[in-house]
Amino acid sequence: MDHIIWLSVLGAVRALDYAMVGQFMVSQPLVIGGIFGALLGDLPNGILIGALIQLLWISIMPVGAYVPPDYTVTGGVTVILTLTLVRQYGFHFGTSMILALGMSIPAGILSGKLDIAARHFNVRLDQRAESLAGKYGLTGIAWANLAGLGPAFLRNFLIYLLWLGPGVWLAVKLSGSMPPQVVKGLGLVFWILPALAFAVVLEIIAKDRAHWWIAAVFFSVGLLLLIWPGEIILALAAALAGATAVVCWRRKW
Amino acid sequence: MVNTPVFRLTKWTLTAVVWRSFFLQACWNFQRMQNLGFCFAISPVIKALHRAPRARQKAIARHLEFFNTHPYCASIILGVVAKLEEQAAQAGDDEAREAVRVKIGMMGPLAALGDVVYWAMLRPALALVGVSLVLFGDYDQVWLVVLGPICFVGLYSIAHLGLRIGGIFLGYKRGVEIVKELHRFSPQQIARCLSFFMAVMLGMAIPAYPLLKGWRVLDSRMLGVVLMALLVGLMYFGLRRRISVAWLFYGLVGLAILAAYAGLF
Repeated sequence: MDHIIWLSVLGAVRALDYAMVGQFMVSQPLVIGGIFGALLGDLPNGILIGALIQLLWISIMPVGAYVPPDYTVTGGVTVILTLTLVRQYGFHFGTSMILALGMSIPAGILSGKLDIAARHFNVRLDQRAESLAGKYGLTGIAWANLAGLGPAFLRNFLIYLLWLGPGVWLAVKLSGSMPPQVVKGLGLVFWILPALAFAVVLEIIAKDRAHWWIAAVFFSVGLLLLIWPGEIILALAAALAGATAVVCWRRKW
Repeated sequence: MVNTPVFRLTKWTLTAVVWRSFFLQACWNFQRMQNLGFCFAISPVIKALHRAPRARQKAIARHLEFFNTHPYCASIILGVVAKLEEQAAQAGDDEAREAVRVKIGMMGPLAALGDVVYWAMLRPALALVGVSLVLFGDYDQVWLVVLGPICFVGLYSIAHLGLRIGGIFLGYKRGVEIVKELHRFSPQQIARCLSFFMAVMLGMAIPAYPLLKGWRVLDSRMLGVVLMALLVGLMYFGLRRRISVAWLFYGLVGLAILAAYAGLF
């Protein structure tokens, strides 16, 4: 129980970085996967889970009044659930990750909804700021501004606590009672999940007619592999060199 | 109304502004957005320049007005406003209307610049570099995998901290003149360049992933690559139809389980 509370505190503190304090990107799934992975004794797999989730929601950020689901919470919860299922209960890695991700997506959606509520609540803090400034000067402004961090911390702490307490229990029960076909299905999704992640990246850049570049590099790598079968690294290096040449040739973008 | 004594802002005051600018969105609200964060960030400047309680209250009130921009690019506005507040205080003007006017004028264009360059392109591009290092790294050598998140945060920190720290000092040094220098930046050009970079990375990743993970279809590795390209195309089609990533994921899980029950693999 103790470690669930500590992990929830850590998760809630790092969640502040997502939109409220700093935005140094330490809350991103790629980074938090490494931190939780190291704490749970499996650094490489923690980072791998974080990397896959990072790609899935690579372009999602709260911009202005647009508040999307907080998929960094999804990332953190998925890493902890997966590594708990694998290391403590001996379940299969890929299957556990897909099950954990499926369970964690609602956590991110809930965090986003509560973020919207918190931003409405912050209007009250803003309205009180002027009277606080009249009473306490600049210290009053500091209190009003930093008071916004409290609800944000609490909301993510409770979400982590809920998903890591009853959530782990539920995940263990589900993993232990899954029919073999479901296990096979989840295992397959783990292998093809990068395809969905690559499609997300493709969608970001497609508007700049970049798909022609993607096709050019894709077919170049394919062609190089036909010439030198097995030399994957060599083919990738050649494609990268070609791209660099294009950058040098086409100075104006 | 003469506001005395008047001090010049020191580098320590500006350093305090840099530190406080990290809390710009701590109390983001739907009414006046980043106003509290801006007032909190500019507080060291108000404290240094306005000793008289009335002048200080006026300064607080004018910086509690509506404010919203990109959190990184806000640093430039903070620097320029610090300069204009200093000039106004030295002139004995405790209204500092120019500071308010410039603040309002700069926040829109800088928000657009930051959104296009940082949120839409730089962050995804560097995340893609970090993720590629992880996905294609050698799991027997942990340090190679760790390099992924380190590269992402390290390179991104250079880009955003450079702007956030440099922006305040440069904004203060150049004042309103910085607007002319900002005109030289073309966010679309930067975005196109980063878009090309991401396209190259993706063009390499799509064939490299199935090859490095040993995908085989009918005992052929090249058919594994074709299968991956088809899957990416199919998912992309779904995304273009405005199906969210979460629903695509759940749909994929459902289809895979159905396929397993049907004995297709």
